[in-house]
Amino acid sequence: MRKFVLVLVVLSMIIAGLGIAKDTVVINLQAEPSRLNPIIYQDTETSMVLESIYAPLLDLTEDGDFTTEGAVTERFTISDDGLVYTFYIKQGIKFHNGDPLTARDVKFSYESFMDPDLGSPHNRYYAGIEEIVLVDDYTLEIHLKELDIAFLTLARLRGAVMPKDYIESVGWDEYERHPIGAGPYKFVRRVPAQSIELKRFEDYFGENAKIENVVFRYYPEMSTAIMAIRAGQVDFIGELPTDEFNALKRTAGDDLNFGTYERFEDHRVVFNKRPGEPFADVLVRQAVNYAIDRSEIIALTRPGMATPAVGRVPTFHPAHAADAPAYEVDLDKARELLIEAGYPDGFKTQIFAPSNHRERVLEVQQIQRQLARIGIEAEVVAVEWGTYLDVTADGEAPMFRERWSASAPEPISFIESWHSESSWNPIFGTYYNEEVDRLVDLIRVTIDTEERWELYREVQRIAMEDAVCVPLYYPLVGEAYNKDLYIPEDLWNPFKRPISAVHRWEWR
Amino acid sequence: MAGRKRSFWIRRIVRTLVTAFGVSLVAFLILHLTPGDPAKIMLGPYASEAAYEAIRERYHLNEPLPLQYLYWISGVFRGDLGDSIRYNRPVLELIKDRIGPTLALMGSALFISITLGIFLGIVAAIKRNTPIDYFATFQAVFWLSIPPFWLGILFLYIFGLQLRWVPIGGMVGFTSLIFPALTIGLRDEAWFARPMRAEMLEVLNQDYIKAVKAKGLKYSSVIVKHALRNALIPMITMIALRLPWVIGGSVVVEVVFSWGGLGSFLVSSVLARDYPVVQAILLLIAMLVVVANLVADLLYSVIDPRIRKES
Repeated sequence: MRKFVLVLVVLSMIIAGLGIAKDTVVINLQAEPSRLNPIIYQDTETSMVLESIYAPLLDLTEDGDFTTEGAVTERFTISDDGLVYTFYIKQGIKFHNGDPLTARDVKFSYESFMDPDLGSPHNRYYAGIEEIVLVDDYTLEIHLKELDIAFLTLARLRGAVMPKDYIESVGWDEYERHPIGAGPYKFVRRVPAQSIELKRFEDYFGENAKIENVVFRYYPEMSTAIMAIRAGQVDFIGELPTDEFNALKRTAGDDLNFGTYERFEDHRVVFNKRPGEPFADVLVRQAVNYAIDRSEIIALTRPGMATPAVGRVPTFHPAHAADAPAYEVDLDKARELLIEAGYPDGFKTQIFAPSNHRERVLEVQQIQRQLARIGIEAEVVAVEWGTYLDVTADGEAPMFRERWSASAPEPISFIESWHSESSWNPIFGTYYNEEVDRLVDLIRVTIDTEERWELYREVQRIAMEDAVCVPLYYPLVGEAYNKDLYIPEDLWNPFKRPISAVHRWEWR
Repeated sequence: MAGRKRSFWIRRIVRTLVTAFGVSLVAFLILHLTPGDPAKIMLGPYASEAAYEAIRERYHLNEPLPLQYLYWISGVFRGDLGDSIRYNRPVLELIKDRIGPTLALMGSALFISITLGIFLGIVAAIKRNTPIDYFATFQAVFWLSIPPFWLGILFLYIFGLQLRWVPIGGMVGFTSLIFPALTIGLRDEAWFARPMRAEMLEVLNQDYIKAVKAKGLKYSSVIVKHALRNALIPMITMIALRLPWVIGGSVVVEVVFSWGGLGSFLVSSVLARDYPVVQAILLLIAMLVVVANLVADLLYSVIDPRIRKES
């Protein structure tokens, strides 16, 4: 009998041991996050951490529509003239320190982004706000100076409603060192140069996180991070470089999970269209478009991890212009256009790329070879980032290799630089087309979504007939994670992304 | 004699001060030698004009360069190295957090390289032109030929990923320290082993060694008491001069091993364009080199008075 009990005890211990669920997930960061301050930070690493700490004012669905699910807003209305946004805040939401979250905190958060003394690099997005009216503790009205269809896209507090009372009592400096939000995880500590630790917030207003602890660990060297995930020391590596992602899939494909999603981003070659430049001539720009082989470039730097671009807005978005001129490779046509433009023997020019982005330099070299086929001799100029910014903005680069990452869901920033009065216009080589100006203005005041998407498509068709740039590709993001980690399907989506909802991850 | 000694020391110290000034100038100019507008580089291209102006104001970027240098260097003397742009915290505070791991790594690496280097140097000299000597030479060349970056990854691959003896990267206890220290230490050991062998051989050929041998002294005490003591003198300078290389080597190794020290901090600060931090770390490392050189010279002159006369 005693023996039997002993066996039973041992057995139950073994079963209990097996049953202990892993309660921590380790997420790789390639660099140490900067300031854990929603209004200030500029690096992706910080955003990856803050997504778990804060609750957003509004969230996005898989289709890029605004939703109040998972957000602090119960419902919101926009007045018919598009000037007044009214937010009704959910009651009973608590910050990590136990303080209730009210409309006062939302108002405070907006004002913090607008406060010139706090110096948020985002404050220009909030410049259109005329006043913020606290109707009651749970109702807030935001009045705009003029109609702005991109207001909710650009001025959504970067997903962070901040605690007014706490910040006012401890000050911003202290707050940054111990941020408090109303999100599913609370900040525990920051180990200098090593990691940031979060713990499940038990009073979260949504569904509580499934995994208790989150550790963000920094691996500046990607090969080390990859060995760490293969050894099970790291559970998730986001935004892997394409070559690393493909290599890892080849070598450790059976031991890890992989996922991809599209990004709200496009890569292109920009022309300097100032008078006197060869690229001021639309025929030359079209010739270059016909000479550049997008699939060759994708095969070179992002095999399997990008789609050829047509226009500016990525394919998954309803404003994508599938029927805009795509300029499939046609060297004869390109040569004809050059002759017509008065360059029967081609010409010499330069193409710039920032030297700190290796794949962009490689691509530009490939473009150099492609342009040589039609007699254009393009010198590759790889320059340091600071120089690159100066040279391109000053109009000294005839062609340059750009990447544009837009805030979701409104794709306005992809096309607004085409407007002749946009501050971006001279930075991207200047462009003037009366019809484009009219359409961009119209987009800004068109409240009906479907109608607006059609205007986006129209403006891209016109600008691409003008061959305003050379669209290269829309990239895919590749991420690797532990075989036993479950990340819900709907998060593999450009509007959601796995990292935005770590609380829904699960150990299986 | 005393006067000459004093003038030697003064000359050395003056020369050091001049070097230190030059070094501080270079560290300061880093920000301005980089092409582009410093404020734009620090904040990125998309910040508001007000934010740029605030940065220019804060770092006196609108003042003439010599004045900017004075602001900066007077801050350094007050212990104010500025604030990190990336972290919004005093640079000194950030350096304090990270200097410990770097010193631990450098200390262990130096310990490995000095003990191993001197030991192998002595053995190779005593057993010269034997397989032992050849092996000592071979292993020295071997470690010297491997880039530390690659050696670090190889160590992690074998002992971290395949054998699972040590954690991969990070600073989790003593086991994390072993391989980064070996990666730097083994390479530097080669730097000490070869000169140590040469010194030993030279000393062993001296007449006084023959004399003590002839006196019938035990071989081990000939080596330790008479030969080693003299052979070690040049090694002091070797070690002091090698110090900056240990720091330099630790930059790459810290990144590979995710070691949270000053080296990886320097790299990430360069990438983040956090110029106040870059300037401070460069200044710190450069000053360390300058001081190490001075100490080497002075030590050498204390141990061997002939140096003073010749210079």
